Amino acid sequence: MPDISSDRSAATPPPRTSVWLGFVAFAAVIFAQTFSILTSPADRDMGHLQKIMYVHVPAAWMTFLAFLVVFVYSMRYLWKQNENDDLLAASAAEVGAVFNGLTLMLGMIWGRPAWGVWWVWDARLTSTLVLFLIFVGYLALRAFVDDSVQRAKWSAAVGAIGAINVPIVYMSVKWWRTLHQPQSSPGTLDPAYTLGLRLNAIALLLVLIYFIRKRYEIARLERAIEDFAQAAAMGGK
Amino acid sequence: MNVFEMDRNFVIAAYSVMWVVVLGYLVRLIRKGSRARTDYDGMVGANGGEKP
Amino acid sequence: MKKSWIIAGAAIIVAVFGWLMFGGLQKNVVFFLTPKELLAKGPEGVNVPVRLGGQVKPGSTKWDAKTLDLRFIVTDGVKEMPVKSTGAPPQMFRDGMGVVVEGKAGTDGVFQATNLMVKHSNEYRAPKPGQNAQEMYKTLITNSSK
Repeated sequence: MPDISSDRSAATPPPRTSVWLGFVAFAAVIFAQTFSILTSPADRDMGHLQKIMYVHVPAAWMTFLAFLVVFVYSMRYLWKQNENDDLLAASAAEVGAVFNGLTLMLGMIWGRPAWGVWWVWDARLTSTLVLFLIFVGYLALRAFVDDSVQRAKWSAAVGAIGAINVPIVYMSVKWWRTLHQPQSSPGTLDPAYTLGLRLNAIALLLVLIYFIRKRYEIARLERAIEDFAQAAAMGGK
Repeated sequence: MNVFEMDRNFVIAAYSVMWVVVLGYLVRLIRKGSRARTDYDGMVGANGGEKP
Repeated sequence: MKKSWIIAGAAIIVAVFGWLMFGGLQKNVVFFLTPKELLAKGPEGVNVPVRLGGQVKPGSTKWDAKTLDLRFIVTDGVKEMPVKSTGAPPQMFRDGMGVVVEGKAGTDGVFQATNLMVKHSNEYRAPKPGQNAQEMYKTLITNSSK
């Protein structure tokens, strides 16, 4: 019987994601949101609408971080051809797509009352939508290619090249004239809002880590199940 | 309606969307995860505890 | 063989990016013109759909709540342009605020806006003690509708 696991490092059993990490992450989100909603005064321009910042901005940061994970593990896959790196990159891409979609939706809900429009095709919004399409394209590609090695190579290429859009999204408000405001800095953000924003970012980071780990665990389990099925088919001959 | 009464609705909408998306994805992961774990454990058991 | 597939895939992505960056996005990379830039176009800038952006010149806002007629001056600190718009202004519209208006500059030099958007700065400030965040907007509406 051929040793099908020779080209993979799937020899280690799939990891287990700690349930406690999930509890802590979601408790942190509830705490951070409660704290920031209760403590932050209404903004002098936009009133209570400012509170949307606590979910929209961290969601955008998590989108960037998720793509950073996709990029790092895509590059690592191309370098070492370790299948687990491919599975981790794919897990981060799915979670990143969720956060990217969330960023867009929350931004639209803020934009309607603040700008007067749900959507505009300015450089920031368009490049963020393109980032979402890259995530979706990456996931669609994986669903489309059957051969696991081909799939890993192609998606690693998309993950590595697609990452150039992340700095474009981030810098778009500085490079081009946009309706979207540039990044706030501690200098432009009232201290009354800073702590709330940071707490929400930390809480959502825990959620991001939990989601990617959990998704990776599932990917590893499914891979191991495929290996079993393959081994059984070959052994039954 | 006064525009300022709309504020609250938009904030509530934003937080609702956030929780629906995040919890929806969480439920999906947990379901998918427990199914995969059951299948995996079953296959390990059928294989006499031996992993491929 | 495998490499050529990767190269083909990469080429497609780069092509899409190129198209977005230099083709599709090109129009919108400069999302709006300032009054100075629009006026510099001369006759070519008249009666063509364009976005105009700048600050609402303090004290220039006239709002008629009955006819929903809103007039104000957009300035970039160098040049300015009167704007005529209809409909209630967005919540954050006020003197000194950044705005982007969609529409056409008329031959009379008045910009006829079909769409009014408020551009928020990256500043988030709590109101000063004793100042209510939303009072300022209400004052604008009540004052100018008199």
